[in-house]
Amino acid sequence: MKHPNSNNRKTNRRRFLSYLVGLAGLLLVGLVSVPMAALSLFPAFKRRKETWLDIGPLADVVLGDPTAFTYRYNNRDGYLDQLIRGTVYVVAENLQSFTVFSNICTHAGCAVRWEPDKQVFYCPCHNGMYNINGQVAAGPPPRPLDRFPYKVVGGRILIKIKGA
Amino acid sequence: MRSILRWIDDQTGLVSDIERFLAHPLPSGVSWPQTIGAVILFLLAIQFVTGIFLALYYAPTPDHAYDSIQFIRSIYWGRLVLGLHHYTTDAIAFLVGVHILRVFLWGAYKKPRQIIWVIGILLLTLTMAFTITGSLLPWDQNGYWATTIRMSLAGSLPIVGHWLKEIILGGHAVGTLTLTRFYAIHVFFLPAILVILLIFHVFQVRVKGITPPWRRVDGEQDVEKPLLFHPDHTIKIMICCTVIFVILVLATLILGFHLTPPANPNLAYPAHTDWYFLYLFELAHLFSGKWEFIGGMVIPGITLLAFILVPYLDRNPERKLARRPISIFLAGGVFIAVTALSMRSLPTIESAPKLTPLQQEGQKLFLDLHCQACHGINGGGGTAGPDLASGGKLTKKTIEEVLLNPTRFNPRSIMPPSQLNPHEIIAMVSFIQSIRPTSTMPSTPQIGPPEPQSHLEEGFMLNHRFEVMKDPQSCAECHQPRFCQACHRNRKPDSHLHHWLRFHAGASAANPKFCLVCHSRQQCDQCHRKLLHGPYWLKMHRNAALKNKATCYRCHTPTFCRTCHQGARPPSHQQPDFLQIHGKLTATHNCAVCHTPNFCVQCHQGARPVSHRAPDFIKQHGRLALSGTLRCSACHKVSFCQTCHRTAMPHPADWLNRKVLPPIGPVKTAQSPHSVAALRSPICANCHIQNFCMNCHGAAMPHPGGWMQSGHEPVALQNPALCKRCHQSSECLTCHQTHKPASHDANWPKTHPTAAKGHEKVCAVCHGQNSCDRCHQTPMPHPSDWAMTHAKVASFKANSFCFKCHDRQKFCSMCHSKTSP
Repeated sequence: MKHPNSNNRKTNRRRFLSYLVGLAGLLLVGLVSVPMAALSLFPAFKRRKETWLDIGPLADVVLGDPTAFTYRYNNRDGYLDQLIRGTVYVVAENLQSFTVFSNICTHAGCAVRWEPDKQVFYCPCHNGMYNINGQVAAGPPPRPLDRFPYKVVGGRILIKIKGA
Repeated sequence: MRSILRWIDDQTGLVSDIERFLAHPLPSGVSWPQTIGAVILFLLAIQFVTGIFLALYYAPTPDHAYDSIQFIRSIYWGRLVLGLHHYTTDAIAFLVGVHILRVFLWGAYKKPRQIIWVIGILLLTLTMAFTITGSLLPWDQNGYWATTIRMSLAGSLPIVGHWLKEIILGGHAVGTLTLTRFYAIHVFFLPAILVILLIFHVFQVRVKGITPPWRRVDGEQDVEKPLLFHPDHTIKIMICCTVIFVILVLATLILGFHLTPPANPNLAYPAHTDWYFLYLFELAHLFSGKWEFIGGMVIPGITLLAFILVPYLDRNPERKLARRPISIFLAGGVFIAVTALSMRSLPTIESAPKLTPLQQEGQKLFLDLHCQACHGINGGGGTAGPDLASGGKLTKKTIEEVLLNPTRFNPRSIMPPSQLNPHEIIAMVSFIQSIRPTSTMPSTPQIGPPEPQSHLEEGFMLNHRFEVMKDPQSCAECHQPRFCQACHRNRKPDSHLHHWLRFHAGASAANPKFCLVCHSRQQCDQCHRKLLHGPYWLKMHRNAALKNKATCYRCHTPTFCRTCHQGARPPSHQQPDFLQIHGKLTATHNCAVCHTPNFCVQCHQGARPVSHRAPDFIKQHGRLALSGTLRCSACHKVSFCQTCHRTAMPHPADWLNRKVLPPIGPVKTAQSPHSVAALRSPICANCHIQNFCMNCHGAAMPHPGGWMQSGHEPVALQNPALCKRCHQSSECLTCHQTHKPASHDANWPKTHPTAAKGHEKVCAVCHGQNSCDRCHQTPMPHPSDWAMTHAKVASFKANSFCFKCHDRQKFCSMCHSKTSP
């Protein structure tokens, strides 16, 4: 005849083993999940590389009028290399201190252009307008034109951009 | 946690179902060997999960597949996931084999579990299909060529082979459609089938129960089942799963995940078969040629069919090994055969031999010198030079000679001669000799962007010049102009071989960008220096050519100048005496159309030697030339003098000799070369003073106007010998026969004796010697003894001769009386 405690002992052992199995299961799931989560979430935590990009000589800047400079650089998009082209406007009252505006409209991302007659940056998509200081003058843009940090090295203008 | 599970159970009943599913009793004796199936299930789950997450980044196209895998590798966790996916495949292949062996040895396939065995064998084929399709997805050389070999086996089947192959590949060869097909099969078709079969397989195991060890088929009913699947067996499963997962992670971290070079259909690669396919690979190779399909398809197919039918062929109810001699013997035979075949084929995947310290030093040199940029090792590395896969077959002497003098075996080799010292040469030779067909290129960090697909095509090094010609700018996007010089300084392009210097100007003018791909703009200056053929070159080239003609001849033939200077000169320049008259032409022609203002200086000032710059050089040069002070021939040809003098210079030896020459002008008796030249043009005056001719002629020469009418007579009368230097006596008669001189008036017959007396020579100018005698028929003037001798003449010729001069009536009577005779 079996001892009455033997069944209880077996039950307790199995309960303990069940916990262990659950624990091991959770451990395995966790071990497998960590690399999966890291793999899928890493783009959100990837630091975007900042680089200084040469856009042209300071001598080309026209004082008083926005001067357009075009730039291009290679950007690594995942496993593809892309050539990124862009335009910025340099607005300068003097060559010691000036402003470098992005030509991307803050409303819908269209390219704005300087209209000398109206003295505004004009966005053809939704008639957005910015004054020479990049402030919204009319239309739907929610905020002023973006500005690029810049520096002048050896007579050339460098702007700070962020890669992908 | 418990409350959450209870809530889920209330909502779905799922927890209770799972608990019921897990809580089935197990017979005694079920222990660790029976955990293998569950571990395989766990590994398959890992494959599912890792596969799904890899699909976030993987691109199933030939252009991007390899790059996307490389991208995943570049992420730290990505490398771990990729490695897990890779090594789990190996683990599954191993454990599936062990699982089948375990099931066979335990006799678990016997009644009533035949269908579980059949499903298990089908699952085995599915895992094989997974590995076959999965190996192609990285689109690297090994996967590409392994797939090509496998598909060639399928294609070797008679009648249906090529159909089968093209259906699987989606074409005639492994390509884009193959990749998308394999991708779809690998991630959609196979998993779906696998899940269905797995559910059926596990469900059958749950229904039929785990086989009681070593019990007869008909003795299972009374088996005691003291164990519960959960947790008595699951704890062992979890332990095994945890251990094997840790092993897999460690394998990934330690061994890493390696890719062979990107797939290149044009570059054959010795693909390595995965170890679990070695026996099939070797089996196929036991048969050759058209019978290869027997080893590659028929025997494996029959074996698979036999495996499926094992439960129905083996009806022995016993499970103990000792009571199943035939089946154990057969199974042992299969096991030994598989092992033997695998061992026989093992050398094909043996790892590269371990390098000695000397060889490691050579390998470091190999990488430091960037030899891998041109020389590949079994497909890895560059393709410009020969692959070193068979480097071990080369002799030490050959390798040394190639290293020291690469052009010894190939004159057009681009390989630069090595600057290694003797010890480094030995190390390099040792490393190259250690390379085997199984060796791989030592891993080097990727510098810069990966090579584009076009650079990986076979023959790219031969064809890249056409790519350059099509779009030079595309090359310049990545490469600096000097990049080309890395090779071409040792080996010129084919176009530069034959007479290129003569053609390169035209080629560069037609497509300047083409040159700029390899050469910088300053490259031309290195050869041409100051001879830049710029916009004003035509106006400058003469001076430059005169200064350094040899430089011109590097590109141009000596006759090149004639292409312009003969046919293209304007008509005004083509006159024979252009050089003499070109100064005058400046008044009527606009020289500035072609010439710069200082063009004239090139001859008239700058280009003339010092000796020519004396103010009176023109007058003195003849004397200087004749005296030998000037070496005229250093610059001028003999004919140069004629360009100005229009006659032979210096005057030839017979210049003064009289000759019988054709008549010139009104004077028909010019008889010497110098008179011909003098009469042709007044060119003599350029050199000689006006009275120069009088030095010899004693008279103005050429005879001035009116000479014939009045000028020559006084000269002829005064010094007839002067005339005779040039003229013969008979020449006077040509005129004087019809045009008598002025002295010969009407009284001349009477007065001429007086005039002629003492001037016989003057008469002789026109009349010749003894002209008096010829006319008078008697000596004239009468000789001194004429008084004594005239009687004889007068006696018979008095009427015809004497009385022509003397009076008949009076002259004789002056001496003779009437009485005398």
